[in-house]
Amino acid sequence: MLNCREVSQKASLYLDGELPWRERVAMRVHLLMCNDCRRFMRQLSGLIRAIPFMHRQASPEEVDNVLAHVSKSSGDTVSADSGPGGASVSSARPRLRLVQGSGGRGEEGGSDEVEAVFNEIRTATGSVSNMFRAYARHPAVLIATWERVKSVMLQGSLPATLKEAIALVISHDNDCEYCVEHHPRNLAALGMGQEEITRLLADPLAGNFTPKERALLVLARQANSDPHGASVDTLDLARRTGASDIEIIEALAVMELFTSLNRFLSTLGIPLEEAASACSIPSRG
Amino acid sequence: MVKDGDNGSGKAAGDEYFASLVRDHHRALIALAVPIVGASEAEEVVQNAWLKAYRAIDSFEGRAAIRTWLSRIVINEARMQLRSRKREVFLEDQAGDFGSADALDDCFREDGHWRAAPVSWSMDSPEGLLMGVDLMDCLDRLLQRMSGNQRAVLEMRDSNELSFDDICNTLDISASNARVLLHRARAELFKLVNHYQETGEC
Repeated sequence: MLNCREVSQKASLYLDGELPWRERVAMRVHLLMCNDCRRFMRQLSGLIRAIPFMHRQASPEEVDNVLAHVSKSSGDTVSADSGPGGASVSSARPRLRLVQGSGGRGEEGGSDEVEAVFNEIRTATGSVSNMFRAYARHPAVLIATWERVKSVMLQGSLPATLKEAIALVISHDNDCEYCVEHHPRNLAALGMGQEEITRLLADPLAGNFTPKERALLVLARQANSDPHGASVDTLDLARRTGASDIEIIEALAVMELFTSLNRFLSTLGIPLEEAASACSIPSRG
Repeated sequence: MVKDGDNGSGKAAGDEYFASLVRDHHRALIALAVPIVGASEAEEVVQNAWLKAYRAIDSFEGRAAIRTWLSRIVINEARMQLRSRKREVFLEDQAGDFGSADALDDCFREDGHWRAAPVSWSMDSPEGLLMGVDLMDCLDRLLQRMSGNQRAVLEMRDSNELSFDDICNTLDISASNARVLLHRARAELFKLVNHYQETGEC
């Protein structure tokens, strides 16, 4: 038999619907008999409903401040967002010369080898992004990077939209403007609406994902920011939602690919391509 | 990304709506950000969140409450802020023993019965319960005294109705820990309101 103290201790779990049924029944029996606890429970429940209203309205000055800030910045693009550390990377700041054009012997830094890889990239993705043009200064690393991009983004079992979403969220978390600009284009090419993309950027978990996909997205995100902490629990969650080892490895592989690309691109200040059509890595699922 | 060239006539009405959102939710969002990033940076975090919200507002479909939608943008910004400063979750836990026990414990006798059962509250509307001017001041002080985690859980769960998943991920605490923190925070509030209802002061 529960006593009143125990009822008060379990009150939050009861009201939040998180008690196992046996304890829930015991609570109900006690509440039926105990006037004081019934009043306590009713008032606690009223209090919880009141908490969203416990903060005052903003003053007119505060509202004006926010609006001024918003209207000052809203002419910019989302990716030019001057958030912390997100100082706009302008095209005036490449810290590495890119291999231009076909990448062939006629170009500075070009070679037959680079040209062959560029051709393959162009066939698979439509164009050669500045990222690959930067890697092309070092042909062996270019080849290794392209192979990795192929295996992680263009092959495998996870849906392409999920991979692109992981790429986008990881790049966003790492403040990589180049990637944050690129991946919405790829998502758009995969048929995701502009609105859904905007929402994804504002709130990565709001996308239209299954529980398993969501768990993999959260896992990838935590693994990027905190590989020793919360990600271990999330790994269990991903498994419980039915993710296979292959799928977990793929999700983490997308994360680690973009974590490394983000750092490369941000450090070197690789500029975005002029043309909006210059897609980097549209994945196929 | 979204280069929206539309500055047409729908914009004025939309801006008015946006201003009303700022008026109704700004303080609550600041209160949400403070325990996560600290008071000095909460303003910047929430400003950036408003900017994101402004750009994405047309895509808000009302699947979640608008407050919850806004608050998720805030915690997302807060996490980015922490990451860019290479900091863990801001934990201003100099609050000592406050909130480390159930505030209602001393309302019970040894045998577990109420020593002092709660008085009957006048509760006309949920909006009204916490809105007395004096009570709001006391409430502010109570929130100040709470540990960072406890306050964060209360703001995230009860004020902004975020999920426990969001809470645990942001604060890096376990689900059971979050529930204990939440219940203790509610118990503190309950005690405060009960005293206020009983005596008219706090």
